[in-house]
Amino acid sequence: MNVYKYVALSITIFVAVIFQPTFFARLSLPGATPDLVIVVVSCWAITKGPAVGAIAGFIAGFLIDVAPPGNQLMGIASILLALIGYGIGIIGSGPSKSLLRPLVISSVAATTFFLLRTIWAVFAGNDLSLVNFSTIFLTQGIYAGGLAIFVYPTIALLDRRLGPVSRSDELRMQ
Amino acid sequence: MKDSTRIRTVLSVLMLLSLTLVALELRNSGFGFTNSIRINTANIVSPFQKSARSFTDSIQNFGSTWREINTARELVKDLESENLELKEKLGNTDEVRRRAAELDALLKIAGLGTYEIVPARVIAIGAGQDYSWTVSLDVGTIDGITEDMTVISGQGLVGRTISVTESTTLVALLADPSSKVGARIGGKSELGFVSGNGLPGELEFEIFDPLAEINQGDRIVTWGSNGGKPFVSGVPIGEVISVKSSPGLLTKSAKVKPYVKLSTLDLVSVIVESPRIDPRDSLLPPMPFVPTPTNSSSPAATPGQN
Repeated sequence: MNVYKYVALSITIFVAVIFQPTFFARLSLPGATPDLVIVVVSCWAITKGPAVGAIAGFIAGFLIDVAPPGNQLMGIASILLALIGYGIGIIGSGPSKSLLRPLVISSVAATTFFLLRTIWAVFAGNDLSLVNFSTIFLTQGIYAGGLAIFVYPTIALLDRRLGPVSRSDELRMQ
Repeated sequence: MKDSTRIRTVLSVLMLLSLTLVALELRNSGFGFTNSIRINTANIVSPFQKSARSFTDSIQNFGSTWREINTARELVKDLESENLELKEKLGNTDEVRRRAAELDALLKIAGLGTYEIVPARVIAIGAGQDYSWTVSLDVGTIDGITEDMTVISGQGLVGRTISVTESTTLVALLADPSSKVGARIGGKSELGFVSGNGLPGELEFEIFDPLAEINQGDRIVTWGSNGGKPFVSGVPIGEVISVKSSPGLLTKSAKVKPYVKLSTLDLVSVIVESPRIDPRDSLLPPMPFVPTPTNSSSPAATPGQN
């Protein structure tokens, strides 16, 4: 990871945080809003391993809690997403020729994130109706997988273009 | 081996940072350090969101224009260009008309209730899976918005403002689990609370009097708080779709379908000054059916005459 890649990482997450509520939420698709942010985090974790995955998750979580219209307790999404990014880096990182792995990992990550958020919301004592839970859970996974088909190649390309792979990166990927 | 220690260190540092944020926010909820983080982030992010919003709009316009080009391809070349120009204008007029119709609806509701309003556009919508039923608007303190103001659309109540920066306003929608609105059945004085439970098309209405009569199709309006904050009185909320029988409980509850489609909001307005006279039921939409002779004296059947 060189400086340019950290800049690229921050910019991709920022763009995802901007476009999720202004573009994807306006599509008013059935079920969940397509979760671009978690797909971006997943794809960085797949490409660059657990440390970068955790950092990406932390930044993304911070931004979705703080940037409008986010109104959640600050720090919770950071914890969840950093752990998810770390987990993906441990289990599923490394260069991949096929798109199947990022697709599956992104949708599992998105549904896991939704599940953890639901548990947190219920635990925090919100009077929620969970009628739509299964619909949102399913569509969340499908949308995330669909987005990963476009996001993963973009991030892999950014990674390749922004300088050579460093020695420590190679070690991490093994 | 050394590498994995480094990774674990990174993760622990991030966890500690997040927990610090949680602790800080719990310690001084809504004030101090974390609040200033929120305000500053909102100030940085909202200009980008506003331009993303207009970018999205232009993509949609481009999409419709593109389709029109394809249908006009067979025409003569100069006619084609002229046609395209005309159609583009037409497309814009449609958009302008739609917006004008929405503004008309808003003006009508504001005029009837003599509310003083500030019109606003929704720039960002919270995702349902994040458990945040919030939207942000393109108006702020410079437009005279403060916290705890009523937000309406042409159809009825949308929510209330919960935090305001210089140029953006965060609105908690009716469906938000934290939302509780004092409400009244139209035409009667039975009081209760409408609360959100996370479903955009279904609200919970709890009536204080367990013996009160409530039926399917009854219309609910805001009761209004002292000084019009957070909710002014007389704003239509929704219609009862089912009544829950709960014998033995101290309150009676019903499910209410809001008049406003909360998932597709565009133009709304913030009520900056409440009416001097309580509009009572005059803002409810006209009854969809002809009242039976026994029920002919419904005060809500003919809005707009006063």
